[in-house]
Amino acid sequence: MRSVASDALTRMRTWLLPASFLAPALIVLIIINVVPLFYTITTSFQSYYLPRSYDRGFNGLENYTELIFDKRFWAALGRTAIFVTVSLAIEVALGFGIALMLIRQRWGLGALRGLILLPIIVTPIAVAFVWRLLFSPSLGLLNYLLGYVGLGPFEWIYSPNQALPALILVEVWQHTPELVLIIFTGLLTLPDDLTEAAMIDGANPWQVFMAIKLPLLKPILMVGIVFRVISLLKTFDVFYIVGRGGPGTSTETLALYVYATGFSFLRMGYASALAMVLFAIVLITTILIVRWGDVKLG
Amino acid sequence: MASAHHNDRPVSFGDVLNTIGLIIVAIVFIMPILWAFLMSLKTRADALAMPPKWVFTPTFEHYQTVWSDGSLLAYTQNSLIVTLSATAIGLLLGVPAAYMLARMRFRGKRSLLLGILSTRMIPPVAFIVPFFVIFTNLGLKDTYTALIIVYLTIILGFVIWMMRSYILEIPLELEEAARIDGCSQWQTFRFVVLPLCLPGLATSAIFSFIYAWNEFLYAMILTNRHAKTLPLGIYNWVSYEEVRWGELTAAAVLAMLPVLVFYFFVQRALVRGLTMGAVKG
Amino acid sequence: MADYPSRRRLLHRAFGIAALTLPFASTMALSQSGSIDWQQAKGTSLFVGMNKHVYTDTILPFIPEFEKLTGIKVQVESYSQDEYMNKRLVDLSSGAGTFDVVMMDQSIVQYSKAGWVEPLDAYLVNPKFVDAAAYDVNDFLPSLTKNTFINDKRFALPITGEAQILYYRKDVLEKAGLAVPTTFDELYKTAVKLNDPGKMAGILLRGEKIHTAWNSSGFVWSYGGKIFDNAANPTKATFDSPEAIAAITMYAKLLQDAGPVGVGNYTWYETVSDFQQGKAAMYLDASVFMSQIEDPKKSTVSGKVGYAGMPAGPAGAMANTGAWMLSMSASSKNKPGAALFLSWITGKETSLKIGEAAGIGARKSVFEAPSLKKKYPAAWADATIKSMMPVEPTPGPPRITAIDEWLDIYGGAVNATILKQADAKTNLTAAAERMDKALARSK
Repeated sequence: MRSVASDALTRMRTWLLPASFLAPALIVLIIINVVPLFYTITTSFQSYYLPRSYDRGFNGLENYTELIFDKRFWAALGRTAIFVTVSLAIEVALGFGIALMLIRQRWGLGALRGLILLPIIVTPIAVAFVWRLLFSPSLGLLNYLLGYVGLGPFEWIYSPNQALPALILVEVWQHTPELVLIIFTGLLTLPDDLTEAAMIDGANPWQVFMAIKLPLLKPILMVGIVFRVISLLKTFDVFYIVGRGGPGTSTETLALYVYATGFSFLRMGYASALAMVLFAIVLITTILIVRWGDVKLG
Repeated sequence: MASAHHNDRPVSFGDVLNTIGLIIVAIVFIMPILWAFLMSLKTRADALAMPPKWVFTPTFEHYQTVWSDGSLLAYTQNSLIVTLSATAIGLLLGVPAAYMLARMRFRGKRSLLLGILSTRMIPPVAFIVPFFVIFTNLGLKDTYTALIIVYLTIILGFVIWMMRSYILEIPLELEEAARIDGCSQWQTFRFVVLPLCLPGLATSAIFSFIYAWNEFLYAMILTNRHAKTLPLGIYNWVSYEEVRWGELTAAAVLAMLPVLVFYFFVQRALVRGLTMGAVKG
Repeated sequence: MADYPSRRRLLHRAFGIAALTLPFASTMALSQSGSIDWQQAKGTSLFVGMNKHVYTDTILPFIPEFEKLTGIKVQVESYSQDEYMNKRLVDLSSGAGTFDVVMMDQSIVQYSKAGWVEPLDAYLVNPKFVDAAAYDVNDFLPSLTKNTFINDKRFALPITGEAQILYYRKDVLEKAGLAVPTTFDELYKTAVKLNDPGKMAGILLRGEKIHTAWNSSGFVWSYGGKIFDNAANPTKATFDSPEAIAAITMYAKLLQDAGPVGVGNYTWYETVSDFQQGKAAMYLDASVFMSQIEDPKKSTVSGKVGYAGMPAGPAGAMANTGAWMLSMSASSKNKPGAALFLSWITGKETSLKIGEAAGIGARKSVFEAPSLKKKYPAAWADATIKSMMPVEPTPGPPRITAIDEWLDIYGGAVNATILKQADAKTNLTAAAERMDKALARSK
């Protein structure tokens, strides 16, 4: 509900300040993105085998039609979808739980929050190598520890069936703290007077959370989700080092397939087409989330 | 401020449960890092021993090796320059834009917001070659400038979106009050909005810093000798016939330190934001 | 660059501390006697892109000699393998000219056909750069030199080779009263007998898709099969022949019945670590891992390891070899400097020094040098040399442009066989079909 005064505020009379606030960021964004994007789009309509770059030339929609019949692409797409959905569901659930626990924590909040956030700051390169070792069936810590509670031994990333779940575990471990931080910050920014008023009115904490906090949190939560989905769809570093899509192609996601096509198989045209399709998939997914999640864009 | 209120009431059973739960969560999250840290203090034979050696004589040789290599310091410097610049520029450009995008209404805003967001969606793999070609032609390959530009493609869209949603949380009435009190638009932004979104600012800064600090793929292709960053320094310890676990983990532990320093530094902004919240409530 | 303790020890063993000053005097002598004007590119800089490798570490202490001799400033930049491959590809294919000299591997066919590396023939016969008599181009091992020629032009000079050998635990075999296997059938029987699930695997082989390609090629040849129809100019994939199928079946059976848990994603990270930690009785892989396995600081099995040549199949023992070479970038801005560097570092004299320091090389004269044989485990040297100098040279890596697609397709088939996703015949037949398509596309 907007008041008359706020309408006056939002419809800013002078254009100078808004322009000077907006323009620099937009100009920089356009400059740094448009040129490479144009290059990639152009290449995606070309036949371009790197070792024969002298034969480079336009081939219409050939790369895109090849993609329709490329089983490996579809398999990678399916795998990516599973990976993104499962990881996201776990991350949001855990992220919420942990953030709410942090908010009500009385003692040692700073220390606990700091420890829980640690996984975000470790370089993915190191994360990948350390987890690779943790997963080792013969020399790994995980099987050793799980052995104590009578579980395993698991093959983890060394088996085609367990590799994807294992990578989801790494992903959840490293990125849940991101959502914890976003949700926790969001909870902090919430005005306290609202909840207090509700509490005085006799609502229990759960009702307060569902009726007041959650709706207010929604914008920031949705942004958190949108950014997680975007980076989940593009996940590369850890997958690449942990198993390069292996065993076989059991963990080959779209980003990995793009990489293999371009940098191993040197089919730059086809790789660009794959990259553009991946881009389109991310874009469409985001728009859907924004729409369903009712993210305020207006 | 949430926890401030809790302190007023007596300790409950729930508080104890909550603490235990959080300690368990914390242990799970730091386990792999702790393991890596222990590995950085073990000899190679101990590091891979199974069953694991919990009691061992720590060795600092890996830290010595990594340190005396010399290049680590250079990589750290490069990473700091690139990361801090990219983060600063990202916030400087992004926060004002975010404010306008939160408060202004105009036609095409929806598409503009999606457009900004879409800059985050391009798989880096697709941009490696064009960026390499462009920077080679501009004579910018292997420079800080190149990396800062590339990292802005990651950071800027993120900052705008992140900050916009935090600003949306701030009640409009506060700004109106300031306007009625005679503040200009700029003053309202500077003295009302900015202080109120400090926690969001801190969070955005931390994320931007981490993204740039840990970025690997672009840095690998776009740097050679002058602008190599820390993740490459860590990767360096994967040699032809072995992963040098001790050195790799030692370098990774050292690489975490600047992020921690940055985190604690920015943390103060978070805390200040909290106090604001308390005043506000 | 880090001076690894182990490497430093090797160097000291090689020369003694005093000897480190000696090489300088000898290159001075060379520069006086030869026809080459070493100072012709004085004041220039030279950038050498290298993969992290024993060879790379070994040449570093010698570089100052070259700088003194020529007045050229040399910067050796070494990267981890994946990083290096990406950098080399992007740099050379775009003609950016960051590197003048690059370390080259089986991608040589791709790089030469694409025109990214310089043909070296003209330099080798030019007395300005190479003193033909002292250089002795015929001294390189034939099995390694073969790979440097593409369409009768030489695009690289070999620097080091690796060969497939069998590592085995002397103590374990002795305790079990078993002889060192010399054929694949014996290898299988021995491995199965020694396999103690959860404690010690009977045998280690790399199982990850891309990594299986090199190792299993040796199997295919030893069984009388071929990877491609025509080694010199491949036109069709033949790794689905009955011989190849038998070989890959054996490769998979060894791992299924006597390999470690999870071997389907084993690269050398895992195989070497497992062997170092005493988790396997035998290990068939490249000779280059000896230094890791014999280093008591890293390995719990040093001193307990025996070495044998590649086991024999129906067609004999055909170990695979891997060659590293040096090439000149076609977009180098300092070709004379690059030519001088190649002439010097692959020359007889420097090669011997490198060989003595690290037990690696690409020249007959190096491997036959008595100084080399004295320094390393005799059995290892014998096994390596035997594998590196086969009576009949093995085909080596496929001479095709689409080398990475081959690794992916063929390696993928071997990997799928190990993982029992289908039998060798089904996997290899389907893979051969896909390979033919890739071959046609990359022609």
